[in-house]
Amino acid sequence: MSIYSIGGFRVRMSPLHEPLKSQAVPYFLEEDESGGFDISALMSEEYLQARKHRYSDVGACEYMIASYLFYRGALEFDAIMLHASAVAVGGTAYLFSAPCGTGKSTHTQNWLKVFASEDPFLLNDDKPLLLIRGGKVFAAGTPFSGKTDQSRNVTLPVGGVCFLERGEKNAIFPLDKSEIFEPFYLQTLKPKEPDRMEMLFSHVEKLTSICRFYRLVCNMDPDSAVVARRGMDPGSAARPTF
Amino acid sequence: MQLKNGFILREIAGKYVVVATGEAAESFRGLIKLNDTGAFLWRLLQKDTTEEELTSSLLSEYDVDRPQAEREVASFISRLKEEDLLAGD
Repeated sequence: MSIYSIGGFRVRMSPLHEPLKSQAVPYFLEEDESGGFDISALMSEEYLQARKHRYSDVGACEYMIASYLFYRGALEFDAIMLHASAVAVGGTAYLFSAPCGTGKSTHTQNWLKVFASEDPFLLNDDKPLLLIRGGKVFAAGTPFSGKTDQSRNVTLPVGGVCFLERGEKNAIFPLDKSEIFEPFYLQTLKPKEPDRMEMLFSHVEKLTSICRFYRLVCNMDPDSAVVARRGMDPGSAARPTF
Repeated sequence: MQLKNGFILREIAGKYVVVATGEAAESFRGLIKLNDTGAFLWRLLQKDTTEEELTSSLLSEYDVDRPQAEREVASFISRLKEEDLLAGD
């Protein structure tokens, strides 16, 4: 049985199709027949063939269901997915969440350019996993990183989470605790089981106390990255490299 | 008159929200925000009740007069109907 290590969890799965087959490679841990795992995203070819008609092809079917099983399972371990592009700079992760097509990835691409001297990289361009550990919040890369397959198998402390919206002028506003649940809920995986929905509530409530959330209004200019970083981390140099 | 099954009401950071689970989640993926009286009426509607019972409960719990309570209840119920949240509708 193949075991993958994702966000520190032992995940049982055996990817059969692209894109998961390739995207999971950096997360492979070991072959282990003893059966010890935290989360199972194991599916047979038969299972996939019976469900592929709901998706564009069998590969998309495997990728979407494995992603659902993983993030739903992670809820049991004080972890929760956020639909966001997560960029890492100076050992800290910054997340930008918004509905599809808003410009999350365009914004984090600006970070990669503007802070190029600090070896920035995309931790996960679509669905990073947030981990609540000892009163602190961390973000982990996962194989489920969307169309661009931009992800790294690392876990970093979170410097801030922005709900991004397009605007003409760049500006960032800290959010009050009461303003966080709605945008977060709309951009996370919604479990159908009531007990897991209770976990979702509990995790988001914890996050509102231990993680800083912001509303980022931004255009697509490189300066938006400078404004966002200064807002979340006033102590940082936040100096563009050009 | 009663709410459909599968909805969960929670207070989070001082605000009331309702989300859907189970079968209800097939048709409702969003979130409903409620004020104090909305949450009060929502709880009562988890069991079978009538518009008159809701109005009486509102009158005994909140400092409102009858016409005001009737308006609140009617407007809340029409919102629930619009969102298709009542069972048997």
